[in-house]
Amino acid sequence: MAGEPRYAGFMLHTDDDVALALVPLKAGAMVRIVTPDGARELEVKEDIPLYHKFAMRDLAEGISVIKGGEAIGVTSAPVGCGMHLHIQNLKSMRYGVS
Amino acid sequence: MTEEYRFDAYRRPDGSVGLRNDLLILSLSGLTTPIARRVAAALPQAKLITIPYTGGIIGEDAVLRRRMLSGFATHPNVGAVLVISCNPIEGNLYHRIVEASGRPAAKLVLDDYGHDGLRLTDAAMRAGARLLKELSAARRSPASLSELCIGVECGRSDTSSGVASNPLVGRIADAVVAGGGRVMGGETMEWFGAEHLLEKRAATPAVAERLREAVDRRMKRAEAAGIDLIGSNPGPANIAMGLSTLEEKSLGAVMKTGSSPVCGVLQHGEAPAGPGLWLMDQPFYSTESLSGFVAAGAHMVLFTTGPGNSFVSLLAPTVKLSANAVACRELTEQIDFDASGILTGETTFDDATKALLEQMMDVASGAYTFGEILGEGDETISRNGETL
Repeated sequence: MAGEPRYAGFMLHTDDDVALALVPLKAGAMVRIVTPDGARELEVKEDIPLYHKFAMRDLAEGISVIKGGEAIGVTSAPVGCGMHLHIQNLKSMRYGVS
Repeated sequence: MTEEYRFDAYRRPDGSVGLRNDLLILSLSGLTTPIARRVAAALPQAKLITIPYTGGIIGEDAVLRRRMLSGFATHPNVGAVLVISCNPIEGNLYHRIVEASGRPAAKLVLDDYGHDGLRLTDAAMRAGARLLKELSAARRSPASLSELCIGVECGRSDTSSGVASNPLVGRIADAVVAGGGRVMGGETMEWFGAEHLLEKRAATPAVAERLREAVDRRMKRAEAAGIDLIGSNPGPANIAMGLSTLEEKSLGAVMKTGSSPVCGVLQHGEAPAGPGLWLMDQPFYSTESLSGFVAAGAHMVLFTTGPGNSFVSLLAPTVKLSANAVACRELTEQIDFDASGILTGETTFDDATKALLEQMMDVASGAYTFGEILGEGDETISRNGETL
């Protein structure tokens, strides 16, 4: 695959709460995201490392986060649209993963 | 759409079809391992499985050893077997198992040669050469997806596996099941955190119960050994690559099994009783896991990786795929199928599914995987207890 990818973000399902960074993203970058229903655009609010997740909408504390159509955990803090979603604000629903 | 996917295979007297027509050198003891290696070196077209332990295997391990060796000896990709044993009891047992399947076989027992490894080597080379000659006359004939059995595996996964290559393999699993074929998933520890989804897909309440028990049993063994799976999973490397929770990791792994109902839970190396998707309760480590699928009759394995993993099955051609663009660019003689275009928007899941099914039909009909060309394959038998 030569050159820059056409997209810098990836969503497995259109209704997911999160997208994946396909390249390291800088805070303030406008990101083109590939989804099953075509492209979307979103401004990321924080630096996002390669293959890490960022929120596609504002997420309140204590709600299930959906990726690939399934809940991958519960927010342990409010997460704004475009913010990095990882162990600092996402916890296991069933197990004591720290 | 599945009717269009056909391949050419070898027809076996026992009704199965083979994607390869291998001579298997099956060495049943540590005493015969060096001899079997010498014979295999002299017959480079043959494939060698050699098991280091024989005496003092008891209970569960003895049952597992017999199931695995019988599975290897009558694997659909194997056309003939050269059995090399240190004693006549085992030599006769596996010779009879191969002959009962209608395959040509030869048996060489160290006791019969006064434990002279050189004389046995000479006889084994001659017997193997005759079997190879006989095998080489076979021709392929058309076969359909309903005759195919595949295993799905992941090793050295990263975030790209869970969102691209594993869901792609899941679509292939669904296509093979829709075509009337068999699919096996395994690696029990990777159901942990996604059991609720697998249980929902269980064909009967009894299957759901067995799935739960399989995970609980391994969890308890880990706890008894003082291993804190919950606190250490996902591990630091997983977290660095962006995986946040155990659910996220396991949900990515079970995507390989697609969306078909789970027909049943198999023991390690146990063959599925019919078409459909089956889950094998087995070790997660790839070398053990692949051999479980192979002993159960998997013709082919789809093996996803993130940054790369060179290991393949010896008897089942293993198609290695990755969606990690760096791995696809760097590991040009390891990755058979580049799925990275799914992430970059250069291809869709539908197009990648078609392309991968086409590549699988080529491999089924005789095209080599890199693992076959480079000889990265092996088979092993797992052990649970202590030898006497």
